[in-house]
Amino acid sequence: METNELEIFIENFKSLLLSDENVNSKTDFKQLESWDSLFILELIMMIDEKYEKKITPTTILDSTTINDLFNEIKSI
Amino acid sequence: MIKTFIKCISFHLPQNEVTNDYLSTLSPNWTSDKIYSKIGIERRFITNENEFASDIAVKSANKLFVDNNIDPNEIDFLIYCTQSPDYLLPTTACIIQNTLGLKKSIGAIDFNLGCSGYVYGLSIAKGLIQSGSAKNVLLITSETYSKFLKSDDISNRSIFGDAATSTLISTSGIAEIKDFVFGTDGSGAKNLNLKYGGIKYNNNFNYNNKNEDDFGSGNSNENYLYMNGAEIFSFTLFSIPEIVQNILKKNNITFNEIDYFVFHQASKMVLDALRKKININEDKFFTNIKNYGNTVSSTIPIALSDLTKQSNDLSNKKILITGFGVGYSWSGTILQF
Repeated sequence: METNELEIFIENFKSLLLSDENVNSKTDFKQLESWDSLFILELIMMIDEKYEKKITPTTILDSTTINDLFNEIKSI
Repeated sequence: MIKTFIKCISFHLPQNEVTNDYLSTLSPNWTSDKIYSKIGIERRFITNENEFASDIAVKSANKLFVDNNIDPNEIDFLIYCTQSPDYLLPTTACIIQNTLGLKKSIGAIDFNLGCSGYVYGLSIAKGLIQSGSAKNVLLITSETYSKFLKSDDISNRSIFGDAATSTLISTSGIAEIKDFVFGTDGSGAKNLNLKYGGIKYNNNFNYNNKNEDDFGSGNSNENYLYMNGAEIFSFTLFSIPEIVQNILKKNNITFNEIDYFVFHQASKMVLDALRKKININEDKFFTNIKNYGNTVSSTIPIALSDLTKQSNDLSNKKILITGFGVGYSWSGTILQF
């Protein structure tokens, strides 16, 4: 169940990318080509819309991998 | 209770157009198309080096008088909203009174608010009229954030534009000003500020030093406008939906009764996110940020002016307006056309 939720989160994350970048749970998302200051806003919006959770910009900046982000959302 | 109305609105844009083509020359990572697709702004206008907020304020007021056949002698109170005052003192509103040739028997005040400023100005004007202190209040908003930005700060230069607006508030007019909701959270002060230039860090201020990378202050950014866009976005996305509900409650009006929502034109992303979250129909959500950028306290009156021109007939329409941002500070009301 947990794995499935993570896969869905990765799919939701991928929908924000500008190009078809290869990502998995261990991807350091701040190294992605799509990453910039506006990408943080996209992430906040997506997490609010899909998970009804309020993630702070600091939490995003303090996270490294997509899995970290997923765990943060689960813990909110 | 005396009813108060917006009688007329005019605005003035400085002549220098900042295009996305120009902005793209500031950074190799940006193209004109990328700026438009990400920011949603086509153009903004900025003042000359020797043109100040008070100059464009005066132009917007003179336009208001001419376009609407207003006798300046009828003005009995001037309220000036700016974060770009000419001096720490005197009050810029006093200088504007003289430049516009307004009567000496009027009251004139400045107040320092940004994106929430117009709505606060309407509330002050309403209070003055309802208390019998004034009959015709001239509310001017004017901002020149372009002067606070580093020349290569493409993020903020792509968002902010300079502008001035003038609104006459009186006992009759086109739209009745209904009840207000206010809010303040100074814990957000650090996320949008200009640290130097006031008194607290007066000794560090070196705004006119053109050598932008060597201010001797240790952090050149503190001479310029700092905005933590992600924090401001987060504040907006998670606060404004509730504020909209509070404005409706305060005025005993339902969501569906609102004909138009005119929000502070902060950025395309903020506006899109709020519209979606609050579930506002696109037809009811007025935006014009594409044409002017974020002009701080002037976005709402410019939007109201454009909406008035674009709509054949606004009579009997209810418009919800809300301003929010630097402070943090926010406010909203209903305009009954």
